[in-house]
Order: sequence, then C-alpha cells, then structure tokens
Amino acid sequence: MNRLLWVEDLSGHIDTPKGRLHILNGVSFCVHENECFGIIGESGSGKTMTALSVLRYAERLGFQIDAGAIVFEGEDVLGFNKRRLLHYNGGRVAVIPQDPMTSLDPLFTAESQLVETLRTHKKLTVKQAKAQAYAIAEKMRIAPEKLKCYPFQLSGGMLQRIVGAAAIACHPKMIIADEPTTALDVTVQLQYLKLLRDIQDEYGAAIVFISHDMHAVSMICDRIAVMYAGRIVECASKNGLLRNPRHPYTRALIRSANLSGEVRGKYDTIDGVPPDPLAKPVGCSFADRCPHSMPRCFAETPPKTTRDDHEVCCWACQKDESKT
Amino acid sequence: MKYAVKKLVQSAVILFFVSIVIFLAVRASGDPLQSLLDPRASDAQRAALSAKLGLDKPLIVQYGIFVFDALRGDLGNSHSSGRPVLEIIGEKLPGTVVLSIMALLIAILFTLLLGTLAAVKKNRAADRIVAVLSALGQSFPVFFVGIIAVQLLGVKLRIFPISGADTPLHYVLPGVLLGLCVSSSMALVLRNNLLAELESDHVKFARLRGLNERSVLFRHALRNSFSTVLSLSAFIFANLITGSIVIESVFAWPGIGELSYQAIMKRDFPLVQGIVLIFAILIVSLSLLTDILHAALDPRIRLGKEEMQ
Amino acid sequence: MTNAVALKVKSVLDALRHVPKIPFAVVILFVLNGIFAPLITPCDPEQTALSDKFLPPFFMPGGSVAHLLGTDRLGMDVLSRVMYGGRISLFIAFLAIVAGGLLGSLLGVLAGYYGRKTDKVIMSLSDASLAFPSILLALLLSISIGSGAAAAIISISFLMWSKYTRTIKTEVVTLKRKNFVTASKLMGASDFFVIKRHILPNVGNVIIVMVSIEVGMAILSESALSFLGLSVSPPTPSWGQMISDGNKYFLKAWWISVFPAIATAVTVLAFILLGEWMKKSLGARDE
Repeated sequence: MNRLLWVEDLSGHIDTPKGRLHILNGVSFCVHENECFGIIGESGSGKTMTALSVLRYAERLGFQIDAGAIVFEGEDVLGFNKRRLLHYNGGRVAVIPQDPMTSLDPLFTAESQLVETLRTHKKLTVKQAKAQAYAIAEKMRIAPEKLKCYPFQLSGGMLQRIVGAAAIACHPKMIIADEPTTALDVTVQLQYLKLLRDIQDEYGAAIVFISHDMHAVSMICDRIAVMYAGRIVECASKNGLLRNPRHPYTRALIRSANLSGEVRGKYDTIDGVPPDPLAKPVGCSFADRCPHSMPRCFAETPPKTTRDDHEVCCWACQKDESKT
Repeated sequence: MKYAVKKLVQSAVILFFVSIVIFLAVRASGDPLQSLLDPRASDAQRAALSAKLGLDKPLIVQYGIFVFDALRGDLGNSHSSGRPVLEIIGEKLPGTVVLSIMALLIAILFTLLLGTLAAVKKNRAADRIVAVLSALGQSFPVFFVGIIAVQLLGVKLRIFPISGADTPLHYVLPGVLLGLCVSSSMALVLRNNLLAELESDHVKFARLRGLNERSVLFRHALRNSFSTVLSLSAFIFANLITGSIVIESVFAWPGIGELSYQAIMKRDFPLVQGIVLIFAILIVSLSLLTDILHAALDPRIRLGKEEMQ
Repeated sequence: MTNAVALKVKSVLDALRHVPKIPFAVVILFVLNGIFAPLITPCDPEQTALSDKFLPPFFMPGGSVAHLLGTDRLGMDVLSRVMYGGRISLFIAFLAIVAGGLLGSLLGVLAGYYGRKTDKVIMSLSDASLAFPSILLALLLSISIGSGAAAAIISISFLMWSKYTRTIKTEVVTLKRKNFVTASKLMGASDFFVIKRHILPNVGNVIIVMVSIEVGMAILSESALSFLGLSVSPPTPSWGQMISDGNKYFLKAWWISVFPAIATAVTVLAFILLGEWMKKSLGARDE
C-alpha cells in the first residue's frame, strides 16, 4: 500500500501568557491509502493539534512548528502556498468536525452549504452542484427534504451526516474525523461508524479517526496509534495492538476501557496525571506513571523501535526484546 | 409572513402605549388651558373654551376622542396658525424622512466599512484608529460636531451650504454627520461580533472546506455579525431621531425637528402632540422595517426556533 | 462580622489597583466638582459684567487670569459656568439614573419573579418606551409642566428604565430557577424576603456596570435637551445650552462653545471607558 500521509518528527508549541506550551514533541506516523487509521489519546495529548497541523490550520491558532515534516502524496504540506492550500483543504483532505451543531452556518440551508463546497473545488453550475449534493446526501442516508432545512431545524445525528457529506463531496483522498462520535448518542454512534466505513469502501478514501474512545476506535480502524503527551508511543494494526499491547500506557488504556466487557468491582484508572505542557519534556513523558520505569526512562527519550510492523517507544519494551 | 404579522401587531400595541403616554404627558400639568388663555380670562370664558375643546369630559373619554380623531387623520388644529396639524406636519415630514433615511444608509455604510476594517486589522493601527473615532463619536455631542462643521466647512471655508435644503449639496453635511454619529456606536459592536464570528466553529469548518478568506469573511462571518447589529435597531432609531431634531436646528433644515422647536416656543400643544405622535409612528415603522429585514436575513427568527426532525 | 467587611474592603481595594487611571480620575473630578462647585468656582457663574464680555481665555492675547477660560456675551466667566454646568449635569444625570434605575429594576424584578402576565405587560411597556426618545418626552413636558430640571430628569429617566428592566428580569429568571430560591420558598420565606436576600445581591453587579455606561448617555441626553432649551433655563449654566449660546458667536468667541463641549466629551468618554473596564473585570470575576 502506498503511503498517503507521512508525518515525521513533528514538534511544535504555542506561546501563551502563562508560558510556552509544548504540545507536540516529535510525532511520527504514516497513513496508507484506503486505510482507517486511528489515533487515540486522552485530552491534551496533542491529537487534535496534530490533525490541525496536517491541515495547516494550527498556525491560525498560534501554533508554531519547530521541527518535522508533513508529506502528503509525496508533496511537502508545510511548503504549500495559499493557492495550493485552498485546494488541499476540502479538496484533497477533508475534515469531519467534532461538534456538528455549530459547524454549519446558521443562516444558510444545508443544501446551499454543500453546493458551496462543491463549487469551490470543481467547476460546476449551480444546477450540477445541486444534483451532486443530492447524490452525496443519498449516500450518507440523508433524506432529500432535510437538505432544504436550516441547521437549527436538524438533529445532531442528521447534522453529523450533513457535515460528513460536505467532507466527502469533493472526493478527498483522506478524511480526518476529529472525535466524530463524541456529540452523538450511543445508539447513533454505531450506525455512524458503520456509515463511515461504507463511505470509505465506496470512495476509497483514507480515514484518520481521532478519538479518546477506545471502543469506537477498535470498531472500525485498521491500524491504531496511541498518543501521549505529544508523542506517538505505540502504533500497530488493530489486532496487534489490542491483543499484544507493548507500551505500558497502551496496556493501561485497554484495561480501563474494558473492551472485553468483564464485570469488575472497580473502575480501572491510571494513577497520576499527564505532564504539564509548560515544562519541556525530558525523557519518556509517561515515566512518572509507569509501573516499569527505570532511571533511563527519565533521562533519555526512548526512540521508536519496530518489530513485525508494530512500533513502540519504550525502554522497558526494548529491554524485554533483548531478552527474548 | 407569520413573523411580519406578529411584528405588526406588536407595533400597534406599542403605538397604543405611546399614545397613552403622549396623552398623559400633555395633560400632566393639569391645566392645558393655561397656554391658551389670558390669565385674566373670566371663569365663563374658561368654561366655554373648556367645553369647546371637550376638556370637561372625563379623561378616558377624552383619550378615546383623541385616538378616534387621530385614526381619522384629525390631529386638531394648530393654536398658532389655526391650520390642521396634520397638514402642517405633512409639509415638513418629507424633509425629516429624507434626512433620516440618508443618515441611516450612511450609518450602515460606515458601520460595515469601519467595523470590518477594525476586525480584519485587529490590534493594528487601523483598529485603534477606529476605536478612538468610535469613542469620540459617542462622547462628543452630535450638535457640537454639527456646529464645528457648519463654522469651519460652511462659514469659513465655504465648501458646503449651511442652511435650508435646496440643492443636493445641502444634503451632504447634515446627512453625513448624523450618519457618522449613529454609526460610531454600531461600528464597535460590529467589530466585536465579527471577531467572535471569525473564531466560531462554522467559520473554521468553512475554511477547512477550502473556502477562500474573502468568501468566509463576507458571506459567512459578516452576515452573522450584522444580524446582531440589526437587533440594536430600536436603540439606533431613537438616537437617529433625537439626532435629527438637533441637527435640523443646527442646519436650519426644513423638517419636523425645526417645526417642533417653533411649536414649543409658541406653546402650541396640538401641534407638539401631533409631532410627537408622528415621530413615534416613524420610529415604530422604521423598527418594524428593520425587524423584517432582520428576519429576512436570519432564518432562525423567520421560522421560529422549532426543532424539526 | 468584621472579617467579612475586611475581606470586602480588601477586594475593592484590589480591584481599584487595576482601574484605568485617567478615566477614574476624571470621574472622581467630575463628581467632586459637582458637589463642591459652589465653593470652588473662581467667579459667580451668573454674574454678568457687560464691560468684560467676550474676553478670550488666558492663553490668548487679551485674556486675563481673572477669567481663565474667557467670558461670554454677558461677561459671565466661562470657567465658572463650565464648572457649574458640570454640577447641573451631575445632578440631573444622577437623579435620572436613580429614578430610571429604581423604576426599571423594580419592574424587572416583578416581571422576572411573577412571570407570565406581569412579564408580558411590563415587557410591552418596555418596548414602547424604546420608541420614545427622551427628546420627545421633553417636548411634551415642555408645554405641560414646562422645561427645567424636573422635566429633564423625567424625560431622561424614561429613556433609561427599560434597559434595567430587561437585564434585571433575565437575571431574576435565571436566579429563580436556581435551587436556593426554591429551597427558601419551601421553607416558607415570604416573597419579599426571597427577593431581598437572594436576588438583589446577585443582581447588584449587573446594575453597577449598567449604571456607569448609562451616566455617559444621561449626560449627553441632558446636553442635547439643554441645547434645545428643554432643560434648565438661563442664567443657570448648562453645558448644552452654553454650546447653543456660543454658536452664534462661534468665529468671534469660539471658547464659549468649545470648552463646555470638551468638558462634555471628556466626562462622557471617561464614564464609558470606566464602564467598559468594569464590565470586563466584573465579568471576569463571575467566571
């Protein structure tokens, strides 16, 4: 499979009145064509900022990139000029935002916003664009009469589909879904996830699924990356990760997510808190919460090691490997 | 459509209350005759005039007569000239209406221009200048600015004429000044709304869909922010009318404002009463128009906040 | 008891440290001037001296230190008149706001607390008043009770009250829904007690912010009214009226109009800025 997106050692910060927030500290991963790639992590881990960096939107929020590269379809994204960026956003990479209720302009109908998106990227007459809009709506299981409604007249689930329709309208090669299920009821979530997969199969787009919800991620993703304190600490195929998690954080995450659904007496949480982004990270960020930490973990940042297509950044794991 | 009807009814109710206020205020001193009669008039004369004007009837009845007559277009006759009040007002009304509408259009133009400029160049020189201008515009009394303009541009430099409304050039100074003053408060509001809109989720999504910045600004952000400015309309019109009365006197502009000034001097209470009523109707109609405009712009108002599924 | 008081004083002093200095100074100056004007004016503001008319301010040729800002057409000292005018403005604006504020707040509390019908009626009244700029009311009053301070106060307060009603009502409604009000009522507290104890303190913040912004508007309204001759009458000095007077002689004696205008603008600006700052700092505190 070809590499569609390649992020290498991305680091960046935001300066605030309180100080410099080190949000990304060397993020590396890659997404292949047609693949559903999940990024999982708690809030503050940097997953949204990673997505925004890939979209080149992070800079509007004051985010400055210190180092690293982002390559999409072989092109250097960080070097895109304004014109290429306009085509890139929405045309080659699309986003499904987190909160559908506020993501659409309240003054325009759903239809007109779809038409607007289509005509931005393709030379279409209004009539042609409308036809295409209705076609896509059908794919997203949106009833045609709903398209003529204004956002305030539609339910959350419907809005999420409309927003999804806007995302796929221009046949992007990659769709970034940022916590798409957070705003939905549990019953609707499953439907929506299935819909996403169907879309992917039909359009052949890659999906980057960002979430803190292990359940959702494990349901539809082919490969999963685990993010902690601005770094990807583990990345593997779904089965590989779930059956054989190597990084202590991943193991703790899986345990607390209780994917097997056992009935347990207490909630499993991870002791401690994520590191303060104001402090520049030294060594492994998870060290202070890790049951297997060694002095080396606090001093040196563990590099990425790969075994059988299963990547991990952990000194303890390396030690285990050298034993076997 | 439903919304327009609802607003129409509301306006009628407002005018009803306003008419009560007008009616009461004029009779607040308790003796409306004092302005008409010689203090040495005899009781008989007093009684006769009282009966003639219907002032001996109970207050409610008087009010009823007042409203009934008003609806028929009869606002009484001016004490000083004897002509029907409505006729006198009718002559001068166009002057004020023209001035108001012109000022309003200029105000909207300036608000959009300055507000957008300030938001786009946030915290840079242009923004600060607009903020200062806006603050000054709100603090300096509008008539003083008018006086300065008259003296400097009219008398000293002789660029603009300073009284009457004969040529188009006459329209410039009063209209622009009034428009500027009204827009000074609106511009800042627009700026702040616009800034908030530019950080909103829907603008973010629009950008992420690949819409260019101009589209985002004008089609999405500005429309949404202007909506909020429109909801200040009643306040704006009150300011506008107050301003026009004052400006009319500074520029000797032939309009109702100037008329009212004269009417007070002569203690002509039917005329004053009629003028105030007409002004109130003017304000209410303008507000109504603005509300309808607002509804046209914002579907949430137009269709009510019912949730359809 | 004293601890609570001490804490309150401390928090006020803390807040004062961040207050924008110049507007605050201007406002204090304005208030002090208003209160002490009779004691500190250099001349009697209503004393005419026809031999000294149209004297320019002291920094221009022909001016003297006896009349720092010059004299007007009747020889009255401009500086003293500006100071006294400030006193009048303060007086009228203050009373108008108090009257309007009290009335408006009361109506707002009633509307919010008793809801439904009372609410509807009061709200329509409030909408009606918006259509009624103070000038119109002043016009009407001028032919019934005549012009003067009372008429001006009534007219201006009429302009102000609806804003209070609306804001207070929203606050009251929000508070009413909160639990502690319901709890009080369950325990049998009378309506009045509930209003006094729970709603008023919370609403106080909002009122303070509104008042400071409104003072500026009240001063401007008074100025417009006196310009048209609908407020206090000569020889009592009033800023708007002085501007109107000076209009006729503007090119010859600009100082008669300009100084009161500057006084108005500076004062109004100071109040607006102070109000904005209060809005920001009190708003931030609520979070």
